[in-house]
Amino acid sequence: MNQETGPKMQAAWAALKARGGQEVALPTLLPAALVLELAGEDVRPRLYFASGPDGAELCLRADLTIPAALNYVQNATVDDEPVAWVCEGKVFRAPKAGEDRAPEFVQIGLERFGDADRIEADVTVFLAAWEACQAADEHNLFVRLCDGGLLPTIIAKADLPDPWGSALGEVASHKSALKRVLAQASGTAPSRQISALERTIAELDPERARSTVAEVLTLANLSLPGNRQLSHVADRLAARAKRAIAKPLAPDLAETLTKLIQLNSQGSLAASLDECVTLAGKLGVDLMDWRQAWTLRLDRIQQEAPGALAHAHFEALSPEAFDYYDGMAFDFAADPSFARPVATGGRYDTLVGEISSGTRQARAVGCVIRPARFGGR
Amino acid sequence: MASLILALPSKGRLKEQCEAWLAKKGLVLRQTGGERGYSATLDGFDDIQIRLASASEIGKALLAGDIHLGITGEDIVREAASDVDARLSIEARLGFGRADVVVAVPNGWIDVETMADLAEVATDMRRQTGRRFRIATKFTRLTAQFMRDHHVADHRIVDSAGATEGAPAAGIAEAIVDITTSGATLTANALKILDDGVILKSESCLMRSKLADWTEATNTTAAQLFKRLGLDRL
Repeated sequence: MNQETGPKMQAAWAALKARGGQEVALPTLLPAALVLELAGEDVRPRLYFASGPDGAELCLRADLTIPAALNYVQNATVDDEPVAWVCEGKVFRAPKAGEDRAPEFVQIGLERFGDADRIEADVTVFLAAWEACQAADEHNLFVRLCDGGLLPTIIAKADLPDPWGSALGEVASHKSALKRVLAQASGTAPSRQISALERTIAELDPERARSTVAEVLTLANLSLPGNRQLSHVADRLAARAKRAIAKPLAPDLAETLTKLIQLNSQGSLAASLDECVTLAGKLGVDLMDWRQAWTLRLDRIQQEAPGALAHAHFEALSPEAFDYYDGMAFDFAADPSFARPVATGGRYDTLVGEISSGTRQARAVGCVIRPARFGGR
Repeated sequence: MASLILALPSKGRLKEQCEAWLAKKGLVLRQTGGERGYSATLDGFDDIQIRLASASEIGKALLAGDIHLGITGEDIVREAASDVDARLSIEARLGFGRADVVVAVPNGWIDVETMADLAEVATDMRRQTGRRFRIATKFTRLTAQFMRDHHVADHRIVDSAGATEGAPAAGIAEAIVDITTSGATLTANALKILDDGVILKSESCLMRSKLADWTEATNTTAAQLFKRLGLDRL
């Protein structure tokens, strides 16, 4: 246990551990390429890099979740082997311009892998984070709940006309890309001119389109090195042309999708979740099972921590910079802007697969608490 | 820092161009310690200490405030720090050492012309392969910022120490960010620059460090030098 951190952190740590979990030490130095691959280049300006004696590029951990998932990949003997780990230690993030804080700070966290009951695991992790904050006298916290899996589910099941259905489906789990394609689909983005070649390609069957593109490349002496194949270029050329000449999405469909993406209700949780169900219904998607799962989560939270949801709201898209949360996600903050959350957590079922290049799979959910922010700091 | 320190490139074409530029203004640079020496004098300015250094060292020294003035490429300082304008000012663009920092992709990518196309391809690639789109470059800071500005989310920067233009053919990266003057090297490597893929139009600049130890004496010397150079700004 880190001794620098004072009684509030010790109280939070004790509360976190009370929810169960084996105490583990996680790696501090990580392969830089792995961290950047998982967390994205947006974190690069925040990372501290180091070189190994063999020339390997390493970085200091910027959170506890990636090292926990890496540890799991290296130690679990089978997929979805159930483990619960509590961990504490420094993480290292360069301050943003104008941000007045130390570049290293302590986090404490709980990471659970392989739980068969996702809902119960979600609730356990939420409660662990909540109880840790309460133990540290962090009261009257604002709670933001999100669901990183909601939009991909709705778009996959929605009855949307092509090419927009497939175009939106391909980017449903990517916030910025989803907004970009929706702007194209709804006709609010400027339309682009297409060339005669693109128009021709768009009207050909895929095989003929590919051979036409191959002829063009040969005639113009153009190269396609690396991983990107002729089929990728031809298919995308056709898809891009089809989008350029397609009718915009019907205004009511575009409006419904926009409302879902922007759903950020500060009202009651139940009303927000019901609104999701209603909006999804307009797209032909039945969200009753999803709604039921959230009802179970919220009831269980309410049961064990009355008051935890007193200042809670729901957003459809996770705003977290680390974009690996793909299910329930939450953060707690003393300020409703959520600029400096004291706790963050969520479900990241795909992360173990990404780390292991698909050789290992595990359901996963976790949370971290930042004691340095206790007391509104 | 008692006297004003001016750092100039120590070798190569950039050094020759600096000397020629100074000569055009009637200023003669005399290298002390022979051709391999790293100090020099400027005729008529005994109170200026001339240091000869590599372009990257000059950039670092300007950003750190170790020297008052220096000539180096804008690309070098913009890559070295995020708060460049708080640390130094560009006093003159010198018209030589011109080079653009650009985003280039294989010329066979006939479906990719703009940064918006690149963003889509990056997203497609991650969805199809589970891996991020790779961009080879030594300009990691400039590249990361440019990609953020153009909403290219699903990419990863691969640090490239040299021969960046060969990275796509070698399978090290899908695209590159590199410096180019005429574009000939990119063309020779079957690459094309995206329509809106110019990150920075760089050239050699006379720069003034804001963090250096500026005194009345060094300010006066700088003003005299700038007057002689036709840059009466101080």
